[in-house]
Amino acid sequence: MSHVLVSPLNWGLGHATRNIPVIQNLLAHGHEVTIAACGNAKTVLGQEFPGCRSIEFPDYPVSFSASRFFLPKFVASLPVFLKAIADEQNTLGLILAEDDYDLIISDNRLGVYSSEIPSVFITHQLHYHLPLVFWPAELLAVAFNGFHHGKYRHVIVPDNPKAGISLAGKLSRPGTDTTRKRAYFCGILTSTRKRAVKEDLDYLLMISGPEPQRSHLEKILLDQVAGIVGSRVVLLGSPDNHAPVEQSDACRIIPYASTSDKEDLMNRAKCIICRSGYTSMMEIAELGKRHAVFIPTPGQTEQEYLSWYYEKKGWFHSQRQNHLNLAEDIRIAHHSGYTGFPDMPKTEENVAKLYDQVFAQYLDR
Amino acid sequence: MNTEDEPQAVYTGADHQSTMDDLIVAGALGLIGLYLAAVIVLFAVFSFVRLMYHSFVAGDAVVIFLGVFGVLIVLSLYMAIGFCVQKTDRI
Repeated sequence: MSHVLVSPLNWGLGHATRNIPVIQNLLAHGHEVTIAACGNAKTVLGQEFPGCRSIEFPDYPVSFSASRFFLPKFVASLPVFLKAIADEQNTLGLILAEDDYDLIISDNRLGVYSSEIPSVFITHQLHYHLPLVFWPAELLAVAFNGFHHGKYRHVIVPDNPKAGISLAGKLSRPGTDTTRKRAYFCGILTSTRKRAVKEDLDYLLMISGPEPQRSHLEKILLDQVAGIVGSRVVLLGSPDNHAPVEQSDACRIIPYASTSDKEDLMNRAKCIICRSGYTSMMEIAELGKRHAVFIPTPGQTEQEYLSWYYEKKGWFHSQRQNHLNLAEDIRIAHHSGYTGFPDMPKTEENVAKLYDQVFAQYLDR
Repeated sequence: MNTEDEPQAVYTGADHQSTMDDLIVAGALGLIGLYLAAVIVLFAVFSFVRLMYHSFVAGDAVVIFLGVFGVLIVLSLYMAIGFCVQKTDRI
């Protein structure tokens, strides 16, 4: 039995939840897993794996996206970010000094690696997308990523290896030889599972992401949701929201749903309206949904790129938040020849291969 | 191992002596370069605007024409290189 340290980033829950099938697989092989995380990521993984030891391991105090001007704010906060990575490395040293580990799995935590213990890095962004006017910065980021990836034995990319069915497009394209040599495309990874339930819900609207854009989208969608025909559920993604909302038999508005309830609703939905975050995309791919409308968070270049990419591929319709006309966009999503994501290997198969082809070489049976 | 009843260890690297990893050194150098470039660009923009203003006040149309033409050339070249880099899948 070996001991694995799993450390996901706490920027949204996507990093934590895509580690759930990985941890399940490691535990199924009889290994011990310690979770080193903070905030909601630690809470979610702690609830999912009460038998695993969990360590409070702070990450980066940088706002994920507080406003439309995410990029300039992010650039301005880079020194703070760099200091946080240095702190993270020192913290990791303390954690590793306390216990013996055979493998370190870092999900997008840039300072979590060791020169003595095999370390792997999970990311779907080998490449950051910026507006063309910032092309020198994008080139620099490619070089920096290559340098950073050199710290790891493998870079695990939760995307399909075949370019034709790549879910992340250019984001998962290796830009340097260092990255190319280490990249292992494991396919989609998500904790959401397909259930044998009937698709009896016409529309599921999932409002998520950082404030204040989450609230802006909530207002836009709630103003328009009455105008569409069919059964509807709106997930506000806001546990603190107690504002009274109008409801009817055809339209339910739920402030917050558990992971299990959300999975059930996603399985039942014929059409999903949501942000184009990569975690949601992997969930939709896992469930094999064919109809959706994506609304990228304004200013989040990754989501904006993914929306554009899926439109270009003819897979899904996307619309900008401020141009959203729900009834019309749903009509376009259904009747303009969008095909949904192509068929691809699912999480269960991917995670089994990932273990056999990558993790197993570092772990004792 | 279930540690629900055990006190939680909280690790904060900020409290400890920093060991300078080359990733941090590279990041710091990159940031210095980025901010220096920003300062140079801002200085160039400021100098250009000042030159244009003085030329306008002095009625020097040739300098204004050459200045605007030069800026258009530089911006076109910058964007053209960007397109090339994009088309060749480097970004």
